[in-house]
Amino acid sequence: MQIQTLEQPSRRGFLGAASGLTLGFFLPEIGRVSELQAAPATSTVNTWLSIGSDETITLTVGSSEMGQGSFSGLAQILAEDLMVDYGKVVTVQGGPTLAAVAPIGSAINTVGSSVVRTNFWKMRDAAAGAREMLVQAAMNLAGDAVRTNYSVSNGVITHVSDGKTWTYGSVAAAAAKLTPPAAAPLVPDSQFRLIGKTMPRFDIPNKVNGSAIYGLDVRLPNMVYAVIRHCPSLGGTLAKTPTAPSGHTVVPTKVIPLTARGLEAVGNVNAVAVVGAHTWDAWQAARGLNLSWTLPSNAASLNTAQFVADAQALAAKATPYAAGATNGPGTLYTVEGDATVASAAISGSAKTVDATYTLPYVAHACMEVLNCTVDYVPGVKCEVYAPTQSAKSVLSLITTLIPSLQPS
Amino acid sequence: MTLTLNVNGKSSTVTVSDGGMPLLWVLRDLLGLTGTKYGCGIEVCGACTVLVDGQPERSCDFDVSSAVGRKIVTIEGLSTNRSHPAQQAWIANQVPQCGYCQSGMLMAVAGAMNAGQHGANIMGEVNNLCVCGTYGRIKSACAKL
Repeated sequence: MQIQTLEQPSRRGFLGAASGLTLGFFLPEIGRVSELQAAPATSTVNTWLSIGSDETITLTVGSSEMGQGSFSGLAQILAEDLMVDYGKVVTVQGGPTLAAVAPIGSAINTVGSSVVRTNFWKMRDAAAGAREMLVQAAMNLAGDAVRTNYSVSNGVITHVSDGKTWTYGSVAAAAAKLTPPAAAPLVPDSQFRLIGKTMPRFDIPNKVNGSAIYGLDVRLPNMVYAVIRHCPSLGGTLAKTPTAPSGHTVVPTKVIPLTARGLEAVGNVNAVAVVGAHTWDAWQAARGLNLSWTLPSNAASLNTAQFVADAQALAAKATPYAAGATNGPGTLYTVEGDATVASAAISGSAKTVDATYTLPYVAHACMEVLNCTVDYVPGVKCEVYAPTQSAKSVLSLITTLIPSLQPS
Repeated sequence: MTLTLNVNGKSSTVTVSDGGMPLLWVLRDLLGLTGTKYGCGIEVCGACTVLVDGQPERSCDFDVSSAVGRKIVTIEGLSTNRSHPAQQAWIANQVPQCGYCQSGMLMAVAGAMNAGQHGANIMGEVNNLCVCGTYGRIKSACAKL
């Protein structure tokens, strides 16, 4: 892969690099569906297409590939208009950034099933623009200004009458010096080779032989393992720091009081982490701890029956959601239209049906067991390996917790 | 105590403080074979399934001392080149989504095949869980095995 020392993106967010063609473009960060229409700033770049002199084609994407197939889908779209084999595209996970103008494929939040459907046209435009720059570079070498003299297939540019060919890699460096076209033509629907077709996903082979690395599989030199025991009640606190159990000879076992996160427990120490030589070691030590908790005064009423009763009481009297209002805790979000009109309609009906539906208080469960691995050297670095679809949020949290460290 | 295990055809020596340490954590944390996953830890989900003498076992609750003298096969040892028929079927049918459960799923399927099951009958032997819900594709993949 060629050098990716990047500066402020040039015109239209496109950028050339010395030993190949690198195009930067923006894939919007989608927080919720209502933001889908927001136009991105053209000066913001978070996705990179690189075509190296060695014929490599690399697409760096900030979104997370979690098995939903986004990377393969984007590569499929890219390969169509770049006119290369699908299998030639290498997709790379971009790292997170907090910068407003993001360097190389910033990792963003990946939500709303939005990666492919919101990026389809941007990916196609970027690919078509790159293709035309590469063709133009070949035309310049040939001293020919007639585009219709050239065809492209599988990353090879051919002069249709004399048969002379140029690979993308051979003209990538020259193409990088050209100005991106304003509106490169897209491949007509009738000529699609890839779009709309079912293609094999890139991530499948490593998921059938155990070689795919998940968060829980990260191994760093001299790492230790920790497990956490939480207070059994929300709002409770650790009454007394327990003594670290002995008998763990490989790595001294430590017990670390943890500060709670969340509105209800700011500042509380409501868990302990037990560190050991390996998962089972730490687990056994944690199980053996005799922990003493100070439970909240309402601990006895923290149960499902009480939650349902509280919710029903709130539903009867809570303030309905209002656009533009604060809408704090306890807001009734399900009222639509005019409640007085509804009441009048109900009282005027010949027959009414009254039913209460309740849903369990369920977790938005993750696929992989919650975990993360941290390589922290105070004052030097804090590297976090985590299975997350919000890498940017993780980076933001770290810089908040450790102000002396800023993203590299 | 020091134990000698036969994992994926190779002899491996591990030192543990407790023979009751689950095989799962020996594989993952001591031998570095991370293809076998931790899911529930109570023998329900099956993400930790490995073969012990050809039979599928939930390694999260299988004492390492009980594995001594037996042939343990993990997902890394199912084949050297993804050539096991189940792996081939998994690729052909594009089974995995997130893939976290699929190591265990494949080992459970391989175990059922070892027991002489074929096609739709394989699924009768497999009760592993998949949060992504890939069961439809698993069924298709098993149909030709």
